Amino acid sequence: MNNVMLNISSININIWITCLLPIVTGGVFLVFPKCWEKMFKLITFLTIVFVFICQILIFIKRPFLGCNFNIDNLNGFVLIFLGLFSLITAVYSLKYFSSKLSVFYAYVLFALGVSNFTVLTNNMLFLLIGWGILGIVLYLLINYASPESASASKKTFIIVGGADAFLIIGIAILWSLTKSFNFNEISSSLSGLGHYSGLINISFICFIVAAIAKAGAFPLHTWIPEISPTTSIPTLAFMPASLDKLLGIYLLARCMIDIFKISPMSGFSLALVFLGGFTVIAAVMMALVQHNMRKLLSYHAVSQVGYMLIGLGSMHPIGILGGLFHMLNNTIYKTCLFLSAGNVEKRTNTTDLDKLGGLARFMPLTFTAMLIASLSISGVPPFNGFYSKWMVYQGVIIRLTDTSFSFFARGVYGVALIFALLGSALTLASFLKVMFGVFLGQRSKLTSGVKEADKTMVIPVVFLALLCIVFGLFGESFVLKYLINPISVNLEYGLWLPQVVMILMLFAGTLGVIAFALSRSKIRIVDNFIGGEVLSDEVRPRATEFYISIRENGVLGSIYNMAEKKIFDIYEVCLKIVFGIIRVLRYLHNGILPTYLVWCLIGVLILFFKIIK
Amino acid sequence: MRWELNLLCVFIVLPLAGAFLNSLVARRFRKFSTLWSNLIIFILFLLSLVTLKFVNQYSVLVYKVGGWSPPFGITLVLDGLSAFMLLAINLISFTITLFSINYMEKFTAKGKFYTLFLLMVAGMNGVVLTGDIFNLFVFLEIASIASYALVAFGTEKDELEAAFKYIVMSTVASMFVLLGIGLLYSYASTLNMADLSSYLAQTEPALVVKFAAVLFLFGFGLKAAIVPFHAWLPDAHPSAPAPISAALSGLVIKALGVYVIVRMFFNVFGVTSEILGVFSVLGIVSMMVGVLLALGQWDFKRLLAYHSISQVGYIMLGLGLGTPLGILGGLFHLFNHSVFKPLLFLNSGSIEYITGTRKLNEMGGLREKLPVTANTSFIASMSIAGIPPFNGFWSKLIIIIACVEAGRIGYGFWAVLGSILTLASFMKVQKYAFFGKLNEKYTQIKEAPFLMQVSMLFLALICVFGGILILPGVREYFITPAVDVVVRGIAYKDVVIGAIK
Repeated sequence: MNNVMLNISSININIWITCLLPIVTGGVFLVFPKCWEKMFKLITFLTIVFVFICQILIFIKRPFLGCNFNIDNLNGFVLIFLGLFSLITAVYSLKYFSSKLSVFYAYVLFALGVSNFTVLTNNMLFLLIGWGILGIVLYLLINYASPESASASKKTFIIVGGADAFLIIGIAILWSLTKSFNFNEISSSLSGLGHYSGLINISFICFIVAAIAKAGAFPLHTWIPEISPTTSIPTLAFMPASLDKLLGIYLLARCMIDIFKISPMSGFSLALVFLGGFTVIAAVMMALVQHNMRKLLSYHAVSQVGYMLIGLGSMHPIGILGGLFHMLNNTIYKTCLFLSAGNVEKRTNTTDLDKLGGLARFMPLTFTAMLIASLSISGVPPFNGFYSKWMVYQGVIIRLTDTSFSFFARGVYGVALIFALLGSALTLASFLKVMFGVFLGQRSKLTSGVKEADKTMVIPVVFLALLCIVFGLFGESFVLKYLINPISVNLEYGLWLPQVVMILMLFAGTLGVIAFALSRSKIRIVDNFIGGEVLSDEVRPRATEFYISIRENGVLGSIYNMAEKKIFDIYEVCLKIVFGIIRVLRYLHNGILPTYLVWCLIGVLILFFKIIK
Repeated sequence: MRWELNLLCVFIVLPLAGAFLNSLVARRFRKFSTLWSNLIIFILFLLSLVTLKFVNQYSVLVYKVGGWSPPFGITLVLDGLSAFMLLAINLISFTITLFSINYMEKFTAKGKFYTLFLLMVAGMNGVVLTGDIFNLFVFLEIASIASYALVAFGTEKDELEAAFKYIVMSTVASMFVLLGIGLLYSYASTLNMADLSSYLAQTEPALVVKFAAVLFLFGFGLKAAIVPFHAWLPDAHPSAPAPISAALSGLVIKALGVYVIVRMFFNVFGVTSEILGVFSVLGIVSMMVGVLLALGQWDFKRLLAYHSISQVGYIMLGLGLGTPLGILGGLFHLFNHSVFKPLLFLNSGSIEYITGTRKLNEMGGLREKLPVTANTSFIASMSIAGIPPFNGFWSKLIIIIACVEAGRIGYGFWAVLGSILTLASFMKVQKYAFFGKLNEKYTQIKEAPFLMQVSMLFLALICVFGGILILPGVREYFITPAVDVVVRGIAYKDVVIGAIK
């Protein structure tokens, strides 16, 4: 284990800035919280901006980062987004939290530094350390300013930390086979170790477990919906919606493409595609019946991971690119959605769809931003979500039509494609519910006369919505070309031309406006009414009522009932098994001395038998 | 070299003398006895650091008690393993005595506590230093008897019952050990470990030796609380006052149990693959049974006690692999466990001191009011659960890597499973004790006294920076000599006999 050695002087200045500076700053905030009451906001923003600039410079200049770190096409754009989302979260939380902000900033800085470290390193051991520390930061962030999340955070950390333990064994196998922790050395020696394929497969499964637990795909996703109702909005937007997605999918891509070099013909590839398809449809179905906006959004955070899994699992260049692009897009619109929900909650103190309504007039900016993000996540052109989903579909369709694949394999791709398409449509359905329930329809008691959210909370949301449009319009010419920057990928496949579509759409819109102006019709502004009447708060139609029929369907209804009893939750199932075993063991520990002495006797007899024979 | 040799007996003489002096004067001069005991332990801690340097310089030091040469006289042997154990024992003892200055105020006989504690330290130091198996038995009994009294220190119903169970089971084990020593003595006519080892190496492996080996494995296995000989521990450890629970879980089970098993089996008898297999299986069984039982507990200290069984399982698993990496992992985990487990017990003591309860479901939200206790316990929980970058992570990592390297992936998976369950049970502790809403009963509480905070912070610092100890450049002073002693196995006898001449 000699190559673990970390020589302080050999650490590159870039690593000092991107990884250690935020960690040290955060550590100072944590250890001496009182000394920095005035200055900590300024210091935090300076640190994050400085780190962000440094990240961009690293991305552009690709410097040599020392022996344990590396920058390439896969981690470059992830790096930039880590900084971007930290900055957005920091701005947003200025007004969101009323006290003890310095502790929150300390955690954000920790998360930023450690994720930079995790993404930049090419040493397995460092990756493992970063991965574990991020679990701790996640746990602390969930508990920050929300005492009700104690139980959910426990579950989260057991799942995420448990996956981390699997990562250890995956790395241990790779180390014992190749005697190296370095990505490049491992991947180059693995190709010569075909006769150990059993071990290598186990190792790969361990990596997948770690990756999907962090990113939140079925069956290790259950922590995301669990934490969503209670924890703070910036935490939700920062960790499960952006950082954890980036890192989880980054690890998955890294080990599939770089380390294990999974073949598209292999069972793993198919399994991932199927897992992805299933995640999309299962999570979206759960999202459809939610009444709480936070919970609904969190199920979509799970569902979107499915598209990335399908894209990466197809192992076709365009699918992989689509998966990675979707990862970026997802972090953008999902963060935007969570933060918009936070704006609504800050003003009305609820995220229950039944209690909201008619906010569009009072919070126009939040409404517009959330509308754009909703259309993006539902895959409506010309926004970014459509672009990346389109690429994922392309990847799947290419595999589907590839006759060199077995019938079964093509069948799996077909099922995944159907799930993905259906999931997209259902996503739109569930966001219609959100948009109607929160912003349209009739006002409720809680929503009358509220004001638009504070500037620091609106600016991040609007910025992210703009990013959705920009990424949608300039997907190929900017994002794919400069950010993700594939080395040698043939992008000849059916890419679409968003700018042209956009121009046509704008043209059509303009025609409509002109037609309206020419018609000289009068505009009258009134309250929302139904059947000619303004209804009272008790009887006004609620968005969720239109979705009740889904629950009342016989088959679906029973599946929902089972899901609500947590029968499909791997964590709860394991819990039941473990407590069954514990009951047996406790029965044996009856506290009576002679029983214990009898055990000792039996133990000695077994030892005699075993050692002497 | 003369003064260096004399230092060895200081480890035994100083605490013994301190104990007797304490029992004479403690009633008159209460403050003096506290100061005196702390000073002694602090000196021993500093000396144990010095011994690391000796080992680095001379590799082995042998002190002949009374000038009698072995095999007739008793020897004290300081090698890498002993020095490593001495450091662990005296370092942790130091933080424990520091903690007890305030904590033991609520008991009436603080002087007696220090007397017993010093006796226990003397016993443990003796066990790890001695080169003679009968002498080892004597020190073992000194430490054990002191610990029986300490378990019963509260003299309430539960404490006495626990102490009674402990006495009975532990005495049975001691008797088996004595029987084993007797058998070996009748067979080899020597009690000196090195001498015995060279006699065993020259003769054909006799049945009586194997018989004695099994007796030892049972006897010391019981002291180490290996399943199925663990049943005394969950009663005894929680019943003692918190600092003593810390010492019992952190030190006693290792000095009297694991250390002696390692010394006897690796260095004296010599290990076979069969014995190693037994170690690993015992380790895995302990690991799983301990952690599963811990998960169901609501008494904070009892939960911690079950984890001691489980963590000893990890140590045995690492040692049972028999590879250098496995032994490194096992020994390092031994050290780490003797840092984070006392810390957890001290946390539980601090909570009990402040709120008066050990029940997890009666606590809640204490993080707000007790930042030092809460944060140190969080660090310790992360350590024991093997979350990076804390020290427990490193030793578990090494053990798991060693399992895979030795071709035992199955063992590795058991270790991972144990690790996840450990995490689950400490998440439960964190959730019920520290996170969540503050229990209304505790709106007026204040953080523990200063010295208790200091000792907890000190241990927490070791947890955070413990990983540094296995970096090259540091580990040569700290753990490599100990690993070398175990890896060399029965070459121990040649080294010791060479050092005598």
